[in-house]
Amino acid sequence: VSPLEREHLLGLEPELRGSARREAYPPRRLSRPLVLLMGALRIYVVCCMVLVLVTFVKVLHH
Amino acid sequence: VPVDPSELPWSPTREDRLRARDRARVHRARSARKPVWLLLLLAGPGVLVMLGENDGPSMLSYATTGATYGIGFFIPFIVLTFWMAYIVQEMTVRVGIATRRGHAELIFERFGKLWGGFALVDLLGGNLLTLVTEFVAIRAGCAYFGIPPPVAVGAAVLLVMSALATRRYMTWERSVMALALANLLFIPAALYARPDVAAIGHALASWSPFPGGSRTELLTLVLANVGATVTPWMIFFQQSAVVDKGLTKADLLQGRIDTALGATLAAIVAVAAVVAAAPLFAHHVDVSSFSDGADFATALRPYLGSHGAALIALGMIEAGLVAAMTISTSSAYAVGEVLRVEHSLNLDFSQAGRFYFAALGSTVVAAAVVLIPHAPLLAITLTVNVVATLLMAPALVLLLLLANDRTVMGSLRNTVRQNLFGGIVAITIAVIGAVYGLSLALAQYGARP
Repeated sequence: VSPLEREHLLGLEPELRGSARREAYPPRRLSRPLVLLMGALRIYVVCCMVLVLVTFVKVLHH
Repeated sequence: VPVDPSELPWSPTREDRLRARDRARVHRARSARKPVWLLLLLAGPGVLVMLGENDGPSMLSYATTGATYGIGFFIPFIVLTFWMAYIVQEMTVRVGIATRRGHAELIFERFGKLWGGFALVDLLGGNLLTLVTEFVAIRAGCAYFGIPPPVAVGAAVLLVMSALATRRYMTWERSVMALALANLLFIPAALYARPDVAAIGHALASWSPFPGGSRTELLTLVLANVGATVTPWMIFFQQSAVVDKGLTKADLLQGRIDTALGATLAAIVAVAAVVAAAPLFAHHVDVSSFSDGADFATALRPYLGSHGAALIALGMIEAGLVAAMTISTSSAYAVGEVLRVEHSLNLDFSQAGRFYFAALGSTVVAAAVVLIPHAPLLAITLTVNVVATLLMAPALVLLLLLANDRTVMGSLRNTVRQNLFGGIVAITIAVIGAVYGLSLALAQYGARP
């Protein structure tokens, strides 16, 4: 590397280096209201998936 | 005199070198107190995401709105939807800066594999279907100029590949931004319609005249316009782009200005599309059977002239092309983040093969689908609308949870005011999205009881 590039590299904030070297955050501990919210979201998502599938098949058939 | 890389405290990659060069320019601009130059260097993800969302189907929605209701209620309504988009996208800037992680990666880490898997499948599936609709827009726009579909679609794929082949985030971003500025073609197209400036001003100030006629049609267009403004890929794209560009806490103000600028430009273009199509409303032209941009360009030719109509067709091509570039990149970021492999536009193909493969693979598959004779493109377009609007609710909830996560956000977590606005937007979009999705699904049941 050139001296200028070395200077740039040394000035690069450590958190900006690389894109696959970061340590993972620990999983979040969910409070009771959040557990309920996520449960409701799961039900919503399953219903959505069924709706999307049915809509696609219906439109395709139509 | 060359320096031995081993002198450095870590082994730099191409990504590090290019990002270091970009950051050095930012440091110099900041030290020299050049605010405009600093903004020009840091702007990009916000403008791209907002103009990228003014994509083929969105521009069709705005044109349909103008042709169905003219100038009135929808002008201020569209401006409001872009304010909502700003509220959502500003959160992604803060989350990206605070965590240095893309959205998919962060959901996997904080909420586990189930929600991470859902987010990824939602994004990749939705993106692939949306990409198909972008190529439909490109094909239709090119058809107006007599360009055969294989040539139009093939050229678009080559352009997407060329932008990625730069292997440099800044070059990719600037190239796509230059192309995205062609979104502004809808503004001169609107001027060809000789709009009544006083009527536009009156509509903005009074939200009137309120549309009459069928309530179902009105509701569908309200929902379609909201769905055309905030979608899941925008959240994933901007957060990942902020990380890849290397924005830091010191750049938050510029990140916000970038997002606001993008929202403003996109809102102006959306309003211009409504205004450009308004002559069809004034002349009672039925647009219910119109399926693509070429239909609108052809129908508008008597009122806008050949130049105005050509601008509409060109705008449709640009809308599809820019969206194809940004949406395929958002898929690539998500794949790289989740697989925990290198994922940056600053990397070589050999260093980030899976990242580039995801972008190119999704683009080629979508392009191929459009060229298949008798492919169910209408079914795909309708399904895209349903998927995007229905699944926006969980995406927004996850974003709000992340933006309030003290562990990862630190001092950048949502304030009470940001939560209030974010909550209002999330609830509004969730309710509207659910109603839209249900209405589309029920309409299908109604079509074939």
